[in-house]
Amino acid sequence: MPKFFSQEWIDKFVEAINSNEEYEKAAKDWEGDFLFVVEPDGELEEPKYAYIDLYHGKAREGYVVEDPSQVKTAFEFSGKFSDWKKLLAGEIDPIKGLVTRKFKLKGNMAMVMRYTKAAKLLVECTKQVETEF
Amino acid sequence: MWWFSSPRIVFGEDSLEFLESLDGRFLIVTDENLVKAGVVDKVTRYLKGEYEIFDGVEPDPSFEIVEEGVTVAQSFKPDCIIGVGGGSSLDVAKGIRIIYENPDLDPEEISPWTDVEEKGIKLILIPTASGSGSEGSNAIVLTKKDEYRKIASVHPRIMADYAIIDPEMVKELPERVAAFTGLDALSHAIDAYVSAWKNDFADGLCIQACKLLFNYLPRACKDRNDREAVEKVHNAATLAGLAIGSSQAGLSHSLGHSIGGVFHIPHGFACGISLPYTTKYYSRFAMEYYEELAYHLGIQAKGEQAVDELVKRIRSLLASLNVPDTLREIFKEYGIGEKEFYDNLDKLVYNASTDNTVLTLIDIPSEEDFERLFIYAFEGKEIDF
Repeated sequence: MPKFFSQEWIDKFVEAINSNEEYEKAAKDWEGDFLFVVEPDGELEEPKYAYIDLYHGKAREGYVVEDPSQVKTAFEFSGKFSDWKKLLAGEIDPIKGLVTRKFKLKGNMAMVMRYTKAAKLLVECTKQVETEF
Repeated sequence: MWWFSSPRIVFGEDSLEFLESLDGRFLIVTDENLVKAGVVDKVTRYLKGEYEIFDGVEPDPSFEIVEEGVTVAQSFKPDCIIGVGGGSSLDVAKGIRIIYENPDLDPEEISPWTDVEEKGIKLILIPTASGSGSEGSNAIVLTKKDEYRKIASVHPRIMADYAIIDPEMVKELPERVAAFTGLDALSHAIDAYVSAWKNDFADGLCIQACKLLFNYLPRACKDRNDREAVEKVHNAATLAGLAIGSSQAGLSHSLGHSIGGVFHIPHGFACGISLPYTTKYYSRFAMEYYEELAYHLGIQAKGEQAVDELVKRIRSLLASLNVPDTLREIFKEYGIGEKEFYDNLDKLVYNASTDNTVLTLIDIPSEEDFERLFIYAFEGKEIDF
């Protein structure tokens, strides 16, 4: 079972995105890469970062980022480790998570608001990856 | 963690008198028909301070109208913005308040997680129709003209400080308008009750709104002098608006927003006529909730039979309001033919399947199912998939 935010986990996540036909349709015109950030809390001492390039319904590449200052992405989605665990377990609705500020999203909101279904399906893809925390 | 929020609600006959307790400068946001019809006078007669009227609101208001209103606000410098009208005017008033307080914010950028400043500008919403529930919700629906699509923005700061639900404001509503606005309210109440975000704080409001609408909407439409019915329907619309503020709208609105964006028929017709179809289809995901709602409406059947009875009840309400139960028939009234419908079907499907309301569905229908839903609602076929 891949460790959360390891390269193996990101590869599985990319695979899950690329095999999701509904996501492909919903994000068919989407262009924008993401930096996903896991912020430390009680169970995690150092932050973790992952880069995923999303383009026209597919994930073109994904990799672990050691130094976030070295990547410039269109969007950044961040949250605490404990909240990420709940998100992947389906205990937090991703949009409610954003509204209640458990997660933060930076980037062009006008664009995000046109792709809300794609955003929801993207989070669904994370749930398909068996994860060791 | 989740929220239920509400403006302070002043309701019942004479509730407009509350305005006399306010001081300051008032910007009234409305449309020119309401000014001409003297409806806005019913509000201004209670204002003590100076006021200005921005009456540029159009049906299916655009982002540009909000910007125009903000320009007026920047010149007049109000302490309080008062939206007077149907959902369009109230939504524009909400948009003007948040952008007036945050001039650097692009209205299209408003999302639930956008950081905004609150500068103490009061917002009062006074509905002149009983349907949108906009006075009780923290959402704005604006039209992106170049994309033929409606975009819903949600933010806590969008919520009004006060809503004034005075039946005086709706007593001259034409029968047809009363019908489609009432159907919008019913769509809110039913959608919210079966939403993935349904919750204990909103559910009771949905049930009461449904009860009031099934019982009083036909009476209120037929006779605007039926004070009891008119007031009950007016209250029901706000109850349903409060419910969608927390539980959100659902599938009838995914279809309704899409139909309205492409064909510009009244939103309440688009949603209300979709309801029998979306109810039957969506019951595969929410059978228990529909059964429960049906029970509260006095339907004793269980499972699928309860859903069928509920659908019958909706169709019967449509009939009692002289509203057809197919898109084909309602489109005819607006000069939209079969060819135009089928030529735009792909756009309808795409817009519905990517509408923000799909986020709070228990499961999102595939594009194929959305296509079938539109065709079945157009042709009046019983849902069998």
